[in-house]
Amino acid sequence: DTLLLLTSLGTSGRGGSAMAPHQRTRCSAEGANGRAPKKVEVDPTSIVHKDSANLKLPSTTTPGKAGRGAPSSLPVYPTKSPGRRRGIHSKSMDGKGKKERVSQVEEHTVPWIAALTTYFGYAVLILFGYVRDSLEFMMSCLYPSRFPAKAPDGYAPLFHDFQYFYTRRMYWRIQDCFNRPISSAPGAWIDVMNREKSADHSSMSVTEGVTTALNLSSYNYLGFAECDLEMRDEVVHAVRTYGVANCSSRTELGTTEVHRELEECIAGFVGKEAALVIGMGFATNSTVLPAIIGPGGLIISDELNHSSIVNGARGSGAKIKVFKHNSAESLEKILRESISEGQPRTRRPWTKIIVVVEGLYSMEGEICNLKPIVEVCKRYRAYVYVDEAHSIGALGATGRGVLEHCGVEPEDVDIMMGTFTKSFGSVGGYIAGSRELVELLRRVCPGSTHACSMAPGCAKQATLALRMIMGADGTSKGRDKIEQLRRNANMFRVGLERMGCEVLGDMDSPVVPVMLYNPSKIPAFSRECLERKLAVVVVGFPATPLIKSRVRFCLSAAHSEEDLIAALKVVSEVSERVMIKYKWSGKPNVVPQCDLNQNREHLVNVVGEWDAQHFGWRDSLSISSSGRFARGNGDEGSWHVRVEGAKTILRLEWDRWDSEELVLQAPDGDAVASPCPSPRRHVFKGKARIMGETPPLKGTFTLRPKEGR
Amino acid sequence: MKRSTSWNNLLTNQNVAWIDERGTWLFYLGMLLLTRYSVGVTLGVPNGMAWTIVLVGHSVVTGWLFHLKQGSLLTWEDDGGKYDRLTYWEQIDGGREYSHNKKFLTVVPLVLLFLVYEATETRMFALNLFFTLIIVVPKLPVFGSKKKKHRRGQSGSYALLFKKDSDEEDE
Repeated sequence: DTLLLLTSLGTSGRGGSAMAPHQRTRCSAEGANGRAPKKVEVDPTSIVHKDSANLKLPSTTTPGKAGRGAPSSLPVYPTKSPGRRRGIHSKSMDGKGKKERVSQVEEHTVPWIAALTTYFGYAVLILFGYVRDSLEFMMSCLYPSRFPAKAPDGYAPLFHDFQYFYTRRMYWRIQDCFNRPISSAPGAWIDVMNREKSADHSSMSVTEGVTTALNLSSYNYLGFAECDLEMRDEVVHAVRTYGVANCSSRTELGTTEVHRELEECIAGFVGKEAALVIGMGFATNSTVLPAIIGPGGLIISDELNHSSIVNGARGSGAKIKVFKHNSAESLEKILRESISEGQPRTRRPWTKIIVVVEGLYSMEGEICNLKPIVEVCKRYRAYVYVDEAHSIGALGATGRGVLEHCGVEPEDVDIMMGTFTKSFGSVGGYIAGSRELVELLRRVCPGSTHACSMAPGCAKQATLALRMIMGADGTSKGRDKIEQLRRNANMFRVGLERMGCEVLGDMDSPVVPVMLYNPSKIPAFSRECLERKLAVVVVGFPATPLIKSRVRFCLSAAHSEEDLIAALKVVSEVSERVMIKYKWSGKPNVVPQCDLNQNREHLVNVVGEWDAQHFGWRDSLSISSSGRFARGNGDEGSWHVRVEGAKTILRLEWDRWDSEELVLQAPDGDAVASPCPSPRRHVFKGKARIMGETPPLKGTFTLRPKEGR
Repeated sequence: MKRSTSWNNLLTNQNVAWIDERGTWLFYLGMLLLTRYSVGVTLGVPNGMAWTIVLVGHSVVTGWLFHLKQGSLLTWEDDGGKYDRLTYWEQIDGGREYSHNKKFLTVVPLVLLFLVYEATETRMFALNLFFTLIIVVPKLPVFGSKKKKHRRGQSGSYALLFKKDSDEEDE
């Protein structure tokens, strides 16, 4: 019955942080043979790591904020996401090792109430729209002079009323929620300009004044949108040296030192031999795909790929097939069919097969299921093209993207594409691959031969941001940013799940979509949030399926914890009003969930301890003295608790990384009153036998540093 | 809102794709019941009259929506005019006949007719029969095939909708 609030002296960010690519190879005995656990020698003295809770973030233009530098006061404990029930992946494709099947990723299903009310909402909107249309028609018959003709005499109208109905009667009513103009940099806080609608609602015009709002809508994952003063000086120097723009393509006069430097930098960062940088991210996909594949080839693309990939694939002339989102089984089936059947009419073998996936799908917040997909592609000898537009810089322990996050070697992926827009505060995109590939692309890809090269200032900014992330500028700012981003993302996600909202996506993803469903909740949520000084992005029909509207929060390393806690309070209040807490369990304190898998082991979800001030409840339990645990991304280990004199020591033996030991402390008298600083992130999703609670199913444990360390 | 062109918009008809989502049939039936009972309560009409009103209203509305109006209601900006000459009924399930949705939508007016039959006398029944026929007859595949032949030359898309093998989607 001992209730242990587990604390630890320092926390360690083991599990991949600060390991360069060449070091990772010694730990990856992956492949089709299953995992070979590495037992590394333990040096107890080197294990306790410095706590990095005292962050100094570069964002300074944040009005109304508390003093900087205070240690963050909330622990971050991800839990299993209720919206996506991802099965347990087996380590190897042939099922050795654990007895867990690779379970199919479940499709997201709409709750019945939400579906019915959403259809009703659409019916009401359509009815009202039709009534208005009829009235307008009658009025135009009675007073023709007040209603201007749709088209001048002799010209056909551009569109039929029937087809334009959705835009006129639904989109125009809520268009103040979209395309809002801003008048500041899109950093952690943003100035949204006020607008008013025209008389017939067809357009909006800017009025006076701005609303300063917390920015949860911009792709600013690492906080580079606001300028860092040292970087700004170097970028301005680059602009003064090389000019504002090159006005020329890469193959003519558009290649300068900054481009070469950026290409070397990004190639080294992602672990490839060479890279090509193109001035526009969309154009990277849409010009490179036609350059590397043509008629006679096959492109197999994920269902939810971005329109740049769709564009490039259609422009290439290759045959296109689409596999179910993130499903390696569907991909394998399609590969088998296509390879055995060959090209459509002639039945010849395909010249090449390229499988295109994205690292992070921003509309769903899901991370690509890359490892099984790469395994399948290797088996059937198809090329893999990964579009890391959102995931580079944002995922992975050192920011190296989805490959690092999923544990895939860069050698296994043939073409890596990414953009500098989201995480690096610049523009443009890159393609990284083998030297032959990149040299070919320089000559053949229209983005390189015909399009203007990236502006030197932007290239310099991207280079500086990359160097900061890699730590090459000598500071730890990059590492701090990455950790802060992850911490923010997970904390926000867990906070939203706690309050009962239906959150999509995976843990660690900096994009957090929350389902709204009903078309009228789209403007309700957006306007209520803006009134409360929170800028959010809501997405509706053409970009999502008809009834699956959502609001999409984009977290940033520039957000501080106070900002996000305030944002969570605002979101909670607005969600109550707008009624989107579809997953609310009905109780103010959400009890942690726990599942049993078939082997009758208990999966423990890390729930965490929110201190009483912010969320009003806490839970803590005890754990047994030994057991196995696993992190969300597949790292596993075992723990063991022993008592040495006055100290209780928790020893973590990771399968892949060094072992570590942490000192546990019993709680003080009223540890409830003082919140503890948030640790470096230990994500434990482990199997444990939980003592001290009946029934012994509910189990969480957490590691926190002792306050003040 | 972001009008992104993705595989969903290209490969599936977003005007009608929502019919396969959860809850559409239930909602449809629910709306019919709601209309019947709200009409019955507010107008105070007897059972047969209420069902007659529902049947006639349903025929008029769905007849107009499914069989008279052509074109894309929701995706006219992105689909390049593929569906401009197709009525909503022909767009459902890609023009395939005897799909689940089409069977359901054909049966519902007949069930309404049955309910009316239980409750009214002959004069009213003739009226209801007339309205039911005008809504059920266009749904029969016999009529569809005539339109198929008539429209074979139109824009290629309707012919594409009918072929189910893999070589027509040569995108």
